[in-house]
Amino acid sequence: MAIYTIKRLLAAVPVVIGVIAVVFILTSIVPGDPARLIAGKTADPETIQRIREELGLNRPLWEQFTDFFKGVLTFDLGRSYRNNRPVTQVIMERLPLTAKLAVSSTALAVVTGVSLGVVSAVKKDSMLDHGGRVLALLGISAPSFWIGLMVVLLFCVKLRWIPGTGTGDGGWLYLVLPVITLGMRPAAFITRLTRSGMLEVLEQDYIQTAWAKGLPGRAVVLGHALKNAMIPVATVAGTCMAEMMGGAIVVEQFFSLPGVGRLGLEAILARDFPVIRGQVLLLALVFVAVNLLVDLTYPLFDPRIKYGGKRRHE
Amino acid sequence: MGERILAVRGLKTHYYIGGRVIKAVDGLDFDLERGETLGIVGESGCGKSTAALSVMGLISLRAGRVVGGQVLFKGKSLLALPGEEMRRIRGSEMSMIFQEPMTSLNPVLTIGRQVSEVFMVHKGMSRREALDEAVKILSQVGIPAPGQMIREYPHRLSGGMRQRAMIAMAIACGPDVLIADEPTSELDVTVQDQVLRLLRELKERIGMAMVLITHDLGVVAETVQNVLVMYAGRAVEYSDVSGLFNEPMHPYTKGLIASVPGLGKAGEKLGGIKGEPPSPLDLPGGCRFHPRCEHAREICRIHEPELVRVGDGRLCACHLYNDW
Repeated sequence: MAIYTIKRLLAAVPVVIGVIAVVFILTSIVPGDPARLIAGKTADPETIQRIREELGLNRPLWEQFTDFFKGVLTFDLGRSYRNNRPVTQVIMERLPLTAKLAVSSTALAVVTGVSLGVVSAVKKDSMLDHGGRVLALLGISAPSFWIGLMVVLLFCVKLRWIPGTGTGDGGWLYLVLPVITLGMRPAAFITRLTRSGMLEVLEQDYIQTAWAKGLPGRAVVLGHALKNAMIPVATVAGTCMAEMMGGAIVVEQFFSLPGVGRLGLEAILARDFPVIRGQVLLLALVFVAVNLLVDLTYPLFDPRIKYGGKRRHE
Repeated sequence: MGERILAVRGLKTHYYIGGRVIKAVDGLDFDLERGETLGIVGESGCGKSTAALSVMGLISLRAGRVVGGQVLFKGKSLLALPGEEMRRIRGSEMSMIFQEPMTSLNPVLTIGRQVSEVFMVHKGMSRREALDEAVKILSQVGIPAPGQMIREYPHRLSGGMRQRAMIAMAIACGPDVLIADEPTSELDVTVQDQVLRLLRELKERIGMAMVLITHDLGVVAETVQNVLVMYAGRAVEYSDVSGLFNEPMHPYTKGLIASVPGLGKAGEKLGGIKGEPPSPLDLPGGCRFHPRCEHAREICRIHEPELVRVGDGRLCACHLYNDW
């Protein structure tokens, strides 16, 4: 398994390089000059030129690219154009909040998605199943800003349970609504996946065996069927979490949460290239890491999956 | 006559698929005495497995419904039992093993877990005690190194070993009746023999009655005492095993036996049955076998023959023997 992990990590290197290259090309062709934005509208061409040279924007793109990679190897992602602070520091400040959001939304999505999916599958074609499927469809289709509006309307305006915006003293209460908003789509997706997975598993011969043994329904469904339906759920949960770790731009913006997503948005608006690159690099790394972790959990769900090591003997 | 432990009367099980009715079992009767081994034979699709699942109360898993008849087990009417009571009987007093050992064990749970949960559910044992019992029962069915085997997953076992593990689960609580649905059809011939021997041995030791469902007359010949021949959802002949092979009565049984190499006389041309089994969606009127029967007469097309006594403990549903 160690060999497998190392192989996977090595395979990730070209992926990360490729992602950064694409971001470099994109940032170089978007309209808007960071130097002009920093200098202000009234600045004269010499000042702008001076700032361009200070930032190294006058150098060829290729040189900037290789410089950036040298920096990556030493964990130096350069400094923000806006406030001259190290990019790593800027990102690390914002990361904990985003991580909290991502982890709790994923947890919420898995718990509700799996439970609803199981109930839907077991009570197939009942009113509960139909209702659950409509809800899931809604959760997948509705844009997050609309869901955000609806939960704020419900919990803050109508019920007055929870403050609408802000992080307050960093308390968890302020995360409740963003987490619900963010978790809705993956929850809906996981509901559908779990339902279809369970329906397939419940038809299998070994489920018939489990019934024939006289196990109670709960033991058959949760003890025998569920584990067999969990691999696609783990994959989706991982992907969703990775996406959210890179910043939930809309939701962070909507709830005024200073996370990585908002940082990225601010950086894009200010043409703060080092921060944009740093954020994209983070996203790529998180994706690679989470996908690897998810793959490494597969043997927990299905013992027939094994990475490297001794070959099984038949 | 021993004590009658299982009695099936007029069992009718239908499937409802896409608005059409498939009469898989359509008026089946049979009895099983304590300690007896009854073989149920017939071609694929004749309703053998459907009958077994109906008796076990598991037919709803296949989208089927028992629409008529009775199943009496130790005097209790199983079809009328509440689900929870039926569940307690399943796997303890009456259990079942299936055809595909490859797919009948849960691939993601250890053998130990799958065997021990029977003890936990039916005997209220703790996990620890149940695992100890699992080791004992696995060694009883001839699984080597059962102490290690309980930690293994099914994919590490051969087909024969998996079927032994299935048998271990089925006999764990010392059932009165074991229903074995084609237990050896998927196994190699040598392994088949071992598994059949094991089943016979366990049957003696536990004193359970066994229903052996198979399409393999060779298996029937060496394992069972009495045979029920099914055709298109009904019993057409019932006999002790030697009577059946020496003097088959129903034309369908005769055809079945003639079609097995080595069972007929040496040098004889291999016989068979012409035509195909009828579609359960469109069963012929009268005797269901008449379109394939060489002896079919006018009456066979009109009246369905009853299963009647035709000799010492033998039953046959054929107009040829009506004037017996």
